[in-house]
Amino acid sequence: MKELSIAIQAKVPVLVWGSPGTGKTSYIKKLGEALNLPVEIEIGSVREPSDFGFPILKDGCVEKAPPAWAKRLVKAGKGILFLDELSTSPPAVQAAMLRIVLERVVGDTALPETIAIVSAANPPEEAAGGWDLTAPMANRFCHLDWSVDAPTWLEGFISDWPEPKIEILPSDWKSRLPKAKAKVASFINSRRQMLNVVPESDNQKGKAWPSSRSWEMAAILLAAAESVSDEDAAIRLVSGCVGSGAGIEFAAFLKNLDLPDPESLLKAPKSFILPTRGDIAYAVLSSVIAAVASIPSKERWIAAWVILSNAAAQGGKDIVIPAAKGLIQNQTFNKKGFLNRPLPPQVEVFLNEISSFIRISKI
Amino acid sequence: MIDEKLQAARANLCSRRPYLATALYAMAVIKEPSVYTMAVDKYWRLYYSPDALLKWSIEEIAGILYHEILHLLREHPMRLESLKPSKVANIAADMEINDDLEDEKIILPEGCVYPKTFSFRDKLTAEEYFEKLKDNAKTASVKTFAGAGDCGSCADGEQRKWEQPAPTSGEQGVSHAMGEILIKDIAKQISETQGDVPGHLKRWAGEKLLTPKVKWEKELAAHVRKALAITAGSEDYSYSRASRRSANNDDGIIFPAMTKHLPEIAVVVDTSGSMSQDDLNSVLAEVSGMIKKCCSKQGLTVLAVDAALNSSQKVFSAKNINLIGGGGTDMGLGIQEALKLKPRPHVIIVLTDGYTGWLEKPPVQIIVGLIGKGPKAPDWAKTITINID
Repeated sequence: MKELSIAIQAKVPVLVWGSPGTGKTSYIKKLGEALNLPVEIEIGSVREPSDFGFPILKDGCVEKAPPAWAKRLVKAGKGILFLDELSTSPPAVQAAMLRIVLERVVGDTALPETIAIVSAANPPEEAAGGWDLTAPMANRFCHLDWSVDAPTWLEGFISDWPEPKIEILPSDWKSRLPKAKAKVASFINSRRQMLNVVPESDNQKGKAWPSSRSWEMAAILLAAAESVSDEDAAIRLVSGCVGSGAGIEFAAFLKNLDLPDPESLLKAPKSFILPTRGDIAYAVLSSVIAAVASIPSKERWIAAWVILSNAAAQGGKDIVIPAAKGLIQNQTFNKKGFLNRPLPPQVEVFLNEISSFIRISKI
Repeated sequence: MIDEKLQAARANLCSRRPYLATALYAMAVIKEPSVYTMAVDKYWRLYYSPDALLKWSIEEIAGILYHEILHLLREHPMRLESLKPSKVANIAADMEINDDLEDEKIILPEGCVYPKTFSFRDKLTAEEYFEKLKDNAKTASVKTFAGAGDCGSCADGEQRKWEQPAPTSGEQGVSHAMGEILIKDIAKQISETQGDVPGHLKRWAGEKLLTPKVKWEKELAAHVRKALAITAGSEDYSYSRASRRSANNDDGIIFPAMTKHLPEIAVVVDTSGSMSQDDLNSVLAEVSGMIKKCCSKQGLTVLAVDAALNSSQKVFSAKNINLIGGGGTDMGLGIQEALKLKPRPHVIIVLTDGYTGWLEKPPVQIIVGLIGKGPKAPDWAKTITINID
């Protein structure tokens, strides 16, 4: 969980998903010790909203007195606030806790920016009376999965939990932010449809998804992870903000910053050159299909077919099939009548190109 | 470019299991004649010998590709790395996969190991098979190749002599962290697939996404609880009763206390004849049980509806429910009838087989318990599929 230590230092709100009783709290305590930060733990399910700001009368006005832990954190000027059991607290308490995360305010007391806030939640199915996070709320966190495998547990159990794996960020890590932002920006520039993808399925609504907000958090975490040159942590943290689908594409993009821009490919489909590496070729073709789907026009749709024919002629016969399916099965294209007969000659060219291959593959 | 036969096998697998495409094409392909047949390392690199392609059919190659991907998806390199000898671990991992593939009628080349090869039970984990295989004399006799004890480090974490070292940045190969995210994404794609997905993949995806396939009883209970809390405003704060904390405070500030309103619930039951009385009773018993738990001693109103309202009764126990009907079906009408009740219900639960008309979105929360495989209810309703075993 090096990722957690990076996110804490970068002050990006984290939501740790994990089963109850798997040592999240003891890990956070150890992490606080290792980073020399005071740790305050609040367990939501045994709290009332007024515990996060207790009304008192002062000179004829009601003020919301901060709880002792908030005062301690403000006095220390640094620290980790750990909000546990977010998903199992009653809604009113959950709302009060989320206000701390989002606005950094407890009652009338503002928490300084230097305080890192970590939340933890149990997967809804494991939590009795669990409440799902709404999609906008989920979008404000970097989601990390907490998993403890048996070897790690055994090791910790016997040796009283060793020092957690941490990465200490260099003091000038923020100087990398402009570069990280530029990387995110150039990715979004070539994959416009990846900027905002509101989750559709119910079980993904409370998880990470791409939006302008979560991309910004991703850029901060990318800068932080790059400052300690931890590529793995960077991928996990970015995916924690924007979700696995966008995370994979972004990681592929980072790995090969020279990936062609699908828009320029669509402008000159005839001169398309298939990348020799299968994984890159697949990523490029997927990006072309996604680009056409985001701005569907018959011209672009036909250009995509020309690219696919080219790719097939250059030996990428199997890689073009999922892409071709994307051009056929997408409802938008169907509704717009692109698939009405007679099909444009470019589609026929493609079909001729792969017909014998289809026979061989026994599809 | 890679051999056309391997391409054909990839296309073949991809068309049958489209959600594996991301995994399949994330695998770098390396021609390596010193590999006996085919192998995948823990960095998702596929090594193959051209001879194997000649020997095997398209379906068999596709089957092996599927097999190797499952090693990666099931995280065998990480799980089995500490189990030695690694050959035994590899065979154990193969057994864990091959019994599932056999159920799916996937064709594997001659000589692959199945649990039945050793007269073991199916559906055990690789770790369990390892324990059984460790002291089995027959283990040494397995002639190894891909799918039978020699799949590369993707199966047991042990680096083979032909495998390339861990990829550095920019090289072909999938790092451990990237692998985790790929796996998660494939699980997500599987969970979003509407059509038929083999059972073992569905279960696997559920476990990966931390959304185990819950029993419908639990799911229904969760939705009822949620609907009640939202619509009836239970578990919110109200000044109608002062918080006990007010006593602690000399300033005279009155705090709101937690209150719980008692919501009204109606259950519309489809009695159109396509569902058996036994099925209905068991579902209804479940519903009344969970309602008793959520909102104390409140009874609930049960409406038996086919094409018309047949009966409407306030019940306190599932035993008292009398279901009459047998005609056509109109659940829209059932909901309308429920809305006429006084006081108006906050939540309406509809139990139906789905072969019914619906009306416009009603002004209250609707939960539909869909019994069997009928068409889904409109989007404004929360639908839970109920499978009675």
